[in-house]
This record gives sequence, C-alpha cells and structure tokens, in this order.
Amino acid sequence: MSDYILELNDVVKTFGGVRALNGVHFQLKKGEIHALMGENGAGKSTFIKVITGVHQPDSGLMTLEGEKITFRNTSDSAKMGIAAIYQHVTSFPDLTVTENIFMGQEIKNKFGVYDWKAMHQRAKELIEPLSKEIDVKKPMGTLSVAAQQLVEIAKALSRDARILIMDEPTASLTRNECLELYRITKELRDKGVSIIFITHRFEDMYELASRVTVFRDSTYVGTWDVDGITNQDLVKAMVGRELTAMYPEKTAKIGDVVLEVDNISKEGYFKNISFNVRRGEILALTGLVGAGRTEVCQTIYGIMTPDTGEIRLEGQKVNIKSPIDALKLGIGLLPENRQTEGLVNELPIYQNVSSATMNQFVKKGQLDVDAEMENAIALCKKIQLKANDITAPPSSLSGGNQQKVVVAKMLSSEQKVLIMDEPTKGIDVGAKYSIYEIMNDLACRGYAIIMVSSEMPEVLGVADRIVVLKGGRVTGQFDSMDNVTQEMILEASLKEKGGDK
Amino acid sequence: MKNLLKSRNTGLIVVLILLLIVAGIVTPTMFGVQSLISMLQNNSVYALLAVGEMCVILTGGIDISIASQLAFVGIVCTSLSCSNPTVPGIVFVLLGLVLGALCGGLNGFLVGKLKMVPMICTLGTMYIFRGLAFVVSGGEWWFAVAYSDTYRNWAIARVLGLPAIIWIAIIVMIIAGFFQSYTTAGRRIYAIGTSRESAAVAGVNEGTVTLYAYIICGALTGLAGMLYTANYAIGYYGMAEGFEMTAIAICVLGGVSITGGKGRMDGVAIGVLIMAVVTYFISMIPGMSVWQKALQGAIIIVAVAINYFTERSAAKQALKERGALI
Repeated sequence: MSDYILELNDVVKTFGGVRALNGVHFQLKKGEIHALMGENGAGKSTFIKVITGVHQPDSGLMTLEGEKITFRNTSDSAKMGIAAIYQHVTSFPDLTVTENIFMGQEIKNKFGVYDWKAMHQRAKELIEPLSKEIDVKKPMGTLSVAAQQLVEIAKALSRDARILIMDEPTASLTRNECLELYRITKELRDKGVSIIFITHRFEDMYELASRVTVFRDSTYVGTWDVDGITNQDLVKAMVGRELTAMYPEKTAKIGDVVLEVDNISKEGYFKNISFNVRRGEILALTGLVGAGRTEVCQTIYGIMTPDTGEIRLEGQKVNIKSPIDALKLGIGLLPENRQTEGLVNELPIYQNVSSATMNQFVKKGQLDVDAEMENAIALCKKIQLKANDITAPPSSLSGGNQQKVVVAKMLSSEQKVLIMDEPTKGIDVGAKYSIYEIMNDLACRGYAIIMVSSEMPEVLGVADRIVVLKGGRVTGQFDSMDNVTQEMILEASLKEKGGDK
Repeated sequence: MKNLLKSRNTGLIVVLILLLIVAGIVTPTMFGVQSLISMLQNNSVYALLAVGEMCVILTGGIDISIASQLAFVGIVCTSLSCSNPTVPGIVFVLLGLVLGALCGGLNGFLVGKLKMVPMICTLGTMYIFRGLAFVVSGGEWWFAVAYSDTYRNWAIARVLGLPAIIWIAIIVMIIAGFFQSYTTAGRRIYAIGTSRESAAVAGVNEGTVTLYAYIICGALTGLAGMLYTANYAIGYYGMAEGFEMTAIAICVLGGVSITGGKGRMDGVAIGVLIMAVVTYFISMIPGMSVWQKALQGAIIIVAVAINYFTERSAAKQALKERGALI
C-alpha cells in the first residue's frame, strides 16, 4: 500500500491535435497540501479537469489509493470524494447561493421534494465560518467574485471531499480573505483532506504547501519539497525556455509618442492606468489572466468607456465612444478570440480581409469585386499568407494563418495604433515567428503597437517596453529592456495590492 | 419591506390594480362578477400555454409551434369525440395530454438531442402540426351541437361557482410552481438555462432536461387544445392562430428572461391577469377594440424595458462590490 492517495502516470490529453497534457506525472500524499505551479497555459486547468472527470485522458494511468480509476463525468469523481474549485467560477449566476451549493445533491424530504428550509439552514452553517456577509438566499450573480469563490469552497466542503482541488483560489481575494482561506485550508488538511492547491503566488505555496509540482508547456517538470526550494529555482522551472532565435531582431526606429493613456479608471475593472506608446514601438501589456489587460485595451478601442481619465492621440485629447470612433482615429484591435471576434468563418478569406473597408470598393452603388479581390491579394502578400485559395473560408487555414487574415483585415484601413490581444495564442512555434516578423515589419513602417501577452518569453523577446498589470493596477513598468528578466516581470505581476507603482 | 418595494412582482401587482381601477371607471359594466369570471374563463387557455412556454423559455429555448400543437390536438380530440359521443370527456383530457406530450417530445428530441436551434426547429414543427390539423379535420369545422356534454363540461361546468377550466388553470399553475421550486427536474430546467457550461460540470444532462421541458410544454398545450374546443365548442384547423406569441408575451411580462434561467410562476400568473384585463377591458371600450393589439405590444415593450433596467442595476451593484476589491 503506497502512502499516495492519488497518482497520475504519463497522462496525455489532446484537443484536436494540440497536446494540452503531454505525459504528466503527479503524486498526492494523504493529508498534504500539494502546490501545483506553472505559467498560464502550462496545462494545470486541463490537469484538474482530467482528475475530476470533465475530460477523459487519451492515455495514462490514474490510481486512487492504489486502485486504477476512470471517470466518465464529474459525478463519478464526486462519488469517490474528489471535489474541485475551478478558477473560472463555474456557478449558476441566476440561482441562489444555497442552490449553487447543493446543485446535484439537494436535500429532499421523504416525498422526494426539495426541502428548502433545511438547505438554507445547512448552507448558512457552511457559509458562516467563511463569511458572515453572504446571504444564502441571494442569487450567486449578485455576489462579488471573492464571495462567489467562498461559496464554491462551501460547496466543496458540503461534499465531504477526501481530495480537494483549488484552482487559483487566492487570485481574486483580498489580503484578509487570503489569511482566512489559509486558515480554512489548513483546518481541512488537519482533518485529513488531501489538497491540490494551484497558485501563481509563491506566498501561498510557502504558507501552505509541503511539496510543489511544476508544469511547463503541458509537460511535467518536477516535484520538490517546499523546504529547501528557492524562488529562483521555481521560476527557472516554470519559465526555463531558450530564447535564442525565437524572435526576429528589432529593426524599427522609435519616434514620437502616438498614444497616451492618462490615469484612466473603470469601476470594477481597473484603476489609475497610465502609459504611452511611440511610433515604431512595441509596448507589451502583461500580467496574469484577469489583471485587467483586455479591459484596458477594450477601453482604448471604445468597447468600454472609462469612468475617469483621458486618452490622447498625437497630443490631442480624443473621446472614443465606440470601435467606429477608434477606427476613424486610426486605432485598430486584433481581438483575443480570433475565431469569434476576428473572423467570419462563413465568408471567404478575401471578404474577411475587406470586411472593414468594403465601402472603398463601391462604385456607383455597386461593389467592385475585382478591386476588392485585388486589394485583398495585395494585403495577403504583404503578410505572407499561406493560402491556396482566398475564396475559401478562413477555417481552411492553420491557426497562424488565420491570425494573419485578421492582421490583413486590420491593415486594410489606415492605422496609427494597433492593439494586439494575445496575438500568438494557440499558434505553434513556427507560425509565432512569422507573426513576430509581421509585428516587427509593421513597427518599421511606423505603427505603434500595443501587445497584450501572458507569455513572458514573448514579452521579453518582442517588446521595446513593458507595462505590468495586477488586479487592475499598474504594478511594474520597464522602460528599457536591458537587464529585464522574467523573474522581474513575474515578481511585478504577483505584487500585492497597494504595492509601489 | 425594502425587498418588497424592489420586487418586480410588486410593480406588476400595482400595474394590475391600476388597470382594474381605470377599467372600473371607464367601463363600469365590466365590474360585474359574471364578466370578470368570463374574462378569466377566456384567458385560462393562455394561462396553460404560458406555463408550458415558460418551462421551455427557462431552458433558454423557445417553442413557437404551440398554437399549431393546440389546433392539432384540439382537432383530434374533437373529431374522435364527435364520432364517439358516448366516450366520457376524461378520456379526451388524457388523450390531449398524451398527444401533446408526443408533439412536445418531437420538439424536445430535435432541440435537446439533435441540437437544432429552437426557433428554427419549432418553426418547422409549427407548419407540420398546423398541416396535420388540416389533414385530420379535412378542412371541416365543428360547432357546438357536435360536442357531447361530458366533453364540454371539462371547460364550462361550474365547480364552486367557477367554470372548470379556470380551476384547471389554477391547479396547473400551482403544480407547476411547486414543480419548478421543489423538484430536481424543475430546478434542472433553471440550471441549464442559467449556464449550460456549469450544468455540464455539475453533471447535469442538458439534452435530457431540454427534452422533458418540451414534453411538459407539449402536454400542457395538448390539454389546452382539448379545453379550448370544449370551452368554445368550436374546432377547425386554423384555430388559436397567434396564441404562441401571446403566451411568450405573458412570460416576458411576468419576468421570465428570454435567455433562460430566470422567472417565477407567480410573476407569470400576474402576467396572465394583466394581459387578460388589457385585452378584455380594451374590447369593452367603444371604438377601442382596434387598439387592442397595439396596446398589447406596447405593454410587452414596457415589460422588456423594466427587465433591462432591473437587470442593469443588479449588474451595477455587483460591479460596485467587485470595485471594492481593486
């Protein structure tokens, strides 16, 4: 009999050709808190979903107390005493707190009818030790994210879990709530619950965990005892990639300031954000997922409007109320979800390219398809699109080439500022290089580029300057790329609230 | 008290009372007990349809085939009853429920299991059921004389002073309200309507839940079909045209979110009453009956606007709470 309650060996999970887990290992001891760390996209979330039965692994062995297990769905894993608190809270916003807690295990009376009184009572008992503020009869959606997180914890507690998986539970909690969570987590451990604690914060790990496992690029890097490991060791394990030759050499000349963002705030999203970007410059906006980067970009592009603060373009104050305003002023956005926001998959590639500028090709009330096509071909050449047939839909292309179509669409109108939200997300390494080349080329032609990215090597390899956000605030700015290391960026993106700016 | 003021239903009740007062002043004749009863009697079919439609809308779907289902089931019950006048009415009530459930089951299978878009799928079945109604009726019309008393009594017989159809509508609404709040099946309908993704993670079989929501809708529609013919003593393939829109309108008015997951039985019950008073009261005012449809439409727009603003203020509140974190 091993002293491991849960073991995973050589687990592989692919999604349509992309390896989300590439032969990972994991061993959880009985009654330990085991930290799981790694960058965004390292495969942690997929890993949990395999353990809880949301996804089924393609291959590999999973054992619970020495016995081989396979889960077809989440109720299978729940029966074995495995509960998970997901990072993106998987709740029912319109249903009450009570109902969220008891979803799937409702208390019924002897007629099989819901006993709301008993459920509210029990929910209150579960919630009260965590927070006295939460009204269990309120709809989940009216609670703050932190409160919703606590409800998720209460839900897991209600299931008497033997193994509890917590996916970045502290990411949106305040300092005091974190301390409270630490206390609760330790109490659970002392009661014999084995906990997998996924986190980006070293503090969480030192405070709670006895061992730590690191994933990188969907693979297993290693497991260490927390005593005797240093920040440097961990960061190296998390990000240790070779940077040589993955990025083109920068050749653009940097000119005057084009766009200035001055102290903009939006309640609930970000506060006091200031930065600027110059002609020919690539500014990286980085930080962890949920730091407010996308929202800041959406504000510059007019999808959201700021509560306070101003945006200046070439020294002039501008009032951008919608994407139409932004485009007129010469600000373009390459959205993060190219499938849903960037491309129309039902239309041929050339129409996708010209969709923003179709009016240019209208002559005497009629669309000049030849001119439209010619223009699209010219743009596709510019970005070296590899397509056999531009009358085919973009879904016929690889991810990298799809992204190029979106870039071509942006280039079809005159722009001064390009915002690229995770431009290389989900693209393989080779295609990434050509996207970087395009960015470099655009910078040379005088575009000011704001790149949102979570990938630190990319940020270091491509950007001229870096702004780091955390929890809706600027927590770090690097104006010169000399001597900037991944550790420094990571540190800034993990900085506690109220840290120096 | 604060909660009572904030509640959407309180607003609806105030509107209902105001409408009744205005109606009482403008058309005093309406305030006879008998005319109020006949108002309720004529709107009981809408109540049944609205309850069924509500179950579907709560899943995030929609069923626009219900008026055709009503006509089809109504015609089948009518023609069978007319050729077999000795068969007691209860048989046709059960037949209506079963046949309706089958019609709903077809929609539910197409939407829940084959993942068709509800609007398009039920647009198709809307024509199918209306066509079947025509085939079964052979274009024929049935009138009062053709109906047996045991058939008609299911709608018009007085029980404790009220026509049976009103009692049936009330009982169905009470059972539905109970079903929606106190049974697993009922709560699952809300769960998949509020978040399909979360429901999947929680181990809820979304397709099956969708299927039975449409079956419930169909069964209630079938019941309404039998009762419609019993109430009005008339049956033809074109009957109840446009009723699906009224049922949807009642749901929206009653606070059922068209995107699913939100809405309560009490709200829908008040919605039925408001719609009843508006249509009935308008048709009483001389020269106003031409305005009936336009006014119904205006009420729906106002209801949607109210939904929008109450939801937005709730979202703002949530953002404020989040803002405290940053």
